[in-house]
Amino acid sequence: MFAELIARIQALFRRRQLDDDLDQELQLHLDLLTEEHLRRGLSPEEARRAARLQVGGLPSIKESHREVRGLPMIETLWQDLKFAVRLIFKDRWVSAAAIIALALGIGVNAVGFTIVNTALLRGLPVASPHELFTPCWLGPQGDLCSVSRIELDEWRAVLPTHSLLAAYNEDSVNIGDDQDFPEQANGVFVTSNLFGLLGIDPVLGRDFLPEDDRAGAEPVVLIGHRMWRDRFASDATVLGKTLRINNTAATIIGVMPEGMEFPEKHQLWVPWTAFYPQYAAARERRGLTPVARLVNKDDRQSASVALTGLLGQLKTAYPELYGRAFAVGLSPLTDRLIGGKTRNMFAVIMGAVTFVLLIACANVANLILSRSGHRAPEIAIRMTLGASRWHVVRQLLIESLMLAVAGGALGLLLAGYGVRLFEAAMSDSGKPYWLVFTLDYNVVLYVAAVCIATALVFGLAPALQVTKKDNSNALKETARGFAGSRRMRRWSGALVVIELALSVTLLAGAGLMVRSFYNHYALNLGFSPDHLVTFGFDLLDHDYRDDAAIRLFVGQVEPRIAAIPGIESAAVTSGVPPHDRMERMLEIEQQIQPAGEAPEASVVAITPKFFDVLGVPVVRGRNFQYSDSLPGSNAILINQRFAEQFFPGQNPLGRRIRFKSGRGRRFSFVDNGKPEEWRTVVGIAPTIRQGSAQDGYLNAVLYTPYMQNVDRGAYLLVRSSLPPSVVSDLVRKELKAIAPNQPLRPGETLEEWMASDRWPYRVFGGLFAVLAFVALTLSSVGLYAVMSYGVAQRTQEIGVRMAIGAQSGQVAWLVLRRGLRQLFFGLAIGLTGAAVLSVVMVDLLVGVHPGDPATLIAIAILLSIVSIAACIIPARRAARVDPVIALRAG
Amino acid sequence: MAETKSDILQGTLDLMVLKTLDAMGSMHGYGIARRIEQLSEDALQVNQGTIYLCLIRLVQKRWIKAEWGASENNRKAKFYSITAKGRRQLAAEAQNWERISGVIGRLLNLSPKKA
Repeated sequence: MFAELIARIQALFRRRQLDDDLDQELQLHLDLLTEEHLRRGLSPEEARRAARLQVGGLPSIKESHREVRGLPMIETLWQDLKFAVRLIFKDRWVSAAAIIALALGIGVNAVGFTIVNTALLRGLPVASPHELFTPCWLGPQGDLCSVSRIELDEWRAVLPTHSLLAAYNEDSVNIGDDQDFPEQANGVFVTSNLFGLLGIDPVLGRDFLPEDDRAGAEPVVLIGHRMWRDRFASDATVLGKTLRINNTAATIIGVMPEGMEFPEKHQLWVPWTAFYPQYAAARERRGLTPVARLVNKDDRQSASVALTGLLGQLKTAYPELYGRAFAVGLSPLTDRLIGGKTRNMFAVIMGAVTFVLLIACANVANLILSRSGHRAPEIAIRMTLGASRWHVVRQLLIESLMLAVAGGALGLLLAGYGVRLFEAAMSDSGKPYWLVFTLDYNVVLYVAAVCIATALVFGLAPALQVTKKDNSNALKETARGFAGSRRMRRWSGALVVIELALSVTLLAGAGLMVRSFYNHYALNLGFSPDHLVTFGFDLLDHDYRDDAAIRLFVGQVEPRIAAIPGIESAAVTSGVPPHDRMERMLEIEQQIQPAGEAPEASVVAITPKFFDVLGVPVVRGRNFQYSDSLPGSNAILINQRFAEQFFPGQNPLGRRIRFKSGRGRRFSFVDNGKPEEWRTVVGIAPTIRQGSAQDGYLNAVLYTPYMQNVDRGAYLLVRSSLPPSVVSDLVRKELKAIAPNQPLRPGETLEEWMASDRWPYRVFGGLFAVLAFVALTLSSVGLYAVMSYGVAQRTQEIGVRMAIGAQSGQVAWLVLRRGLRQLFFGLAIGLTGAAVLSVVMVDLLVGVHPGDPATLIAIAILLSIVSIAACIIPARRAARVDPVIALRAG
Repeated sequence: MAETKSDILQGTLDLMVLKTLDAMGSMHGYGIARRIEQLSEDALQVNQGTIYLCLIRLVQKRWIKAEWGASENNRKAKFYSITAKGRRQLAAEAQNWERISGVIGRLLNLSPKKA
């Protein structure tokens, strides 16, 4: 059996030789038989004839021989392939058009899939990333995904014993050593088991041990590969050296592998408890992000149940800390690191690229359908001669598959280029370190599957159509007869309508996206970002032990920086627009709020020069004065938005507001009910963006005097017409003179500062614009092709019409009318689809209404113009048909 | 259909080719065809071309093997000879054939029962 199979497979490759052998054998056989007959006395002519009769039909013997010795299925497949290639080359222009359309469709699809694959399927580059979850407290106003150290230990005690639980907290730290300048770096405070849980080992030295993460433990630090290279010149003797971290000397115990920058772009990891022993038992100090490894569904289920059960006990013991949380839920760590909104974005991208592919498929199906018009007589002959319908359909599908594979291969090349562009646009954008967009085997497999699927989508309908049994008179018909047939026209008309509808929907979605991106990009700041440079700093605990020391520092820095020649003004703030420092819940005197719905506002601490530096004056009342810095002052400013929102139709000046303790939004279920003292509104500031850049609206903001609410982490904001690099040097030099040990982050212009907020909008906006452009091109080219092909097919008919008196205008209208009808149906269906789509997309839109009429109307008009243009050229050609020539050509 | 006819034929033809090669040693296709025709005394009318289908099949089953050689009139010809595996197959097939033909023979010799 086996030997025979091998022999048959070998026969496939030795076809030529085996055929030759058989020819020789048969020839010899015929010759010998002829000689025999000659010997019996037949004439040479008769002898040859008799021999042939006895041997049988040579072609059929050869054919049977091939079947017997080889694998007939594969051989016919091979024949179909060769036939398909021949046909593809014969109709090379149609084929090229189909392949280009498919390449575009599959190419953008592969780019979309690469993005999703990288972010969601491939996930974090750690062991089994899909087993990693973050437990979060679920509260009525959102989730809180952070815990205190003591909560972490309590959680660990109730989780299934084989589940792992670790935690980390990202914070900026000041580092220094004996050789290099002090610098500010992004550090991570971790539990000792974090890297064990992630399955990452240091390339040099050792991982943390449980005893490193105890109060009073010798401080140790793990450094990243990049820091090892840049700061320590890849010195192998780095282990055992000390690094000052927030002024604590820590011993370097290991170097992490290259490219490991967990969780985002971090290069420094230290044990949490060794650095914060004082908070080890502070229940309300929730700064740690928990990570649990839960291997299977049962583990996740029982973890969630156990943690929620524990919450019940905690609520009884500490009602003020857990009062409003109702459960503990698990969310995948990858989601947390990427952000839920971005995840939705990926889904929308995938949807959009699928639409582009479908448009390409409709296009190609139409091309194939129009071409199968030419082929109808040939196919009818083949079927009359006994080819089964299945055989013909298979052969047509193989042809479609070849087109799809060619398109897919080209598409993959395009995708490689597109992904490189995308990655280049995304690098330096603040995306997590592990999001590196590259093609991999998953993408190649995906493209292969897409090729097969598209071949079926665009190939099956035309193939079934052209092999219908009732094509009996196709033999009699000319190519034109079939292609011009009513059924054909209905099919291609339907395809055009589908294509237009898909385009409208996609364009509407893309239009809304691009508009929200534009709204973001324009990012109405409320002031001009020109000539502003900002420097972040984090005052060292060691040198600035208390608020008084911080006040002294800031009181010194501001005037000295402002006094530098060339620098116009300087201010210190806890939040540089468009960001704030925090959101807090408020209580407004003489206003009663329903329980649980306290007003919330962004809170920013500023020095009096803040609005001068931004170049926008206070609107009403007065600005802060230096006297507001003194003890006993309780002045605050609110912005106009705050006034409109919380004091509609009232005069806010002189009204009193106090903070409720606990922070806003994410922390809102923590409310221990101890309000702070009342503060008086003394002025109304202009509305400038201080909040989340993701918000489509401008926040209500409350400003406090910086000196009343000092903050270690703050920003120096400087206005100067000098080049930013010069400003940066001047400020650094001056600061070095004031505080030699204090690290300062490099100066950033406000444009640079905002770049990290804008990148997703820039990149995704660009992506959608490209998709929309590809879709529009494909569908208008498709419409044009179908229209002009239709005119070419109907030349004779048009000739007859004109011969019997039709005016050229009437003829043009005849052609145009069909296009317009398709346009109408396409628009109607597409706009309905767009309405549905916009409901789905509502979360992603910024500053645009989901059913934004301007966008929809603009798209309808754009598509109408393009479609009518695509129809007018063929219509005019039809109107110019010379009846004599048209009739003669028939 | 033609298929069923060749199915019956196939087994018998295989057996005849194997037996011929077993008895006569190495032969080319024409020789085998002539030999079978002579033995059957023209009772079997076969397209002689079909012998080549049988030969390639038997070669692929490794029951016979083929070698190029020179024919009687000194032309290049493919000579077939039976292999050890083919002899075993022949023995088994011959036994099988005799058993079946015995059964068929007895069946056909039954005289009809008088009613």
